[in-house]
Amino acid sequence: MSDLVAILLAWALVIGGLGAYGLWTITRGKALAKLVPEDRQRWMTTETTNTETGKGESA
Amino acid sequence: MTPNPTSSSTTRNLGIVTILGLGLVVLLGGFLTEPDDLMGDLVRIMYVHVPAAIMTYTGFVVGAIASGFYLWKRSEFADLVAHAAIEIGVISGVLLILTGAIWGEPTWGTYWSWQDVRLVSTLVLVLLYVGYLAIRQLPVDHHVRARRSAVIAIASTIMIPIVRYSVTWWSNRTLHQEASLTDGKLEDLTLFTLMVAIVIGLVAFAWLTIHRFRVLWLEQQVDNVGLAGAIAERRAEASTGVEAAVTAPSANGDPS
Repeated sequence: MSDLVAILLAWALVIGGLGAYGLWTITRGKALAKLVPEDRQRWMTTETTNTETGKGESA
Repeated sequence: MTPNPTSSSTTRNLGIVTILGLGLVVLLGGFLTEPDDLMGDLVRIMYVHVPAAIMTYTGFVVGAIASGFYLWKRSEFADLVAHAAIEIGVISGVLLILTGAIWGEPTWGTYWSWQDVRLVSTLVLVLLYVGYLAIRQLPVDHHVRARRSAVIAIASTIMIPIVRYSVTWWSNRTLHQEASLTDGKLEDLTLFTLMVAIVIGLVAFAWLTIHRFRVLWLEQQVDNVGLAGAIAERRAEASTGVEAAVTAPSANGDPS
């Protein structure tokens, strides 16, 4: 492997790998958001329901 | 266009800084810095390899701190932050090992050596946290899973100083050089570029962690919504059954 190929491969792996992971989180977030009511999409604004007692509790 | 539920003004700003900073690192590290006297142009791999190492350590340390906070306060927020940070730490760790192997072949003549204490300890560190992520997939009660994984996240940090100081403690058992940042041998622009690359790596880490945390939160809400829906359905079925049982005898005129 030439030096140039090694450098390009290393840079492409890191930038491409982290970039692909970032894109995956964004697309997965969009897909999941369709299944969750808008008021429960963010942790600070969400009131979770205790499934045992049925009572609400702040997240 | 669908609004992005994991995005906010903070993440947008972090994303912009990451992209602009990355452009600067490519310009500096790819074109403006001088080749190294010993390694030549291969030193340019350092500008992605070292930030990947810093992101790995940061992910595991943030994960351990958040896990400690979870054990202390039983905070769901801390549990998910730990998960997000460690997942990004593992991904960075894999990239760290891969870029190290790519750098090692032309420099040392080998991609990997099982005798090298730095390489093997780094692999063990990453595998410990792969184990953490595996524990998180177990189908057990949420709190049990969070407690077990928090203990693993904290215990595994013991490997971080071992990896960090392995090149000093066992210097005759490694091909790896000592820390580049602290040995004072880096030329000014090279050091500046490396520092910029590390800062951008940390900004990217923050950006990814926030997004991943929000996705994990959504995953948990989907589970909760599904569970709440199932409970409501069962309650509805149960009440329908009771009504049917009450009305059925009077309907056929045969009360029991």
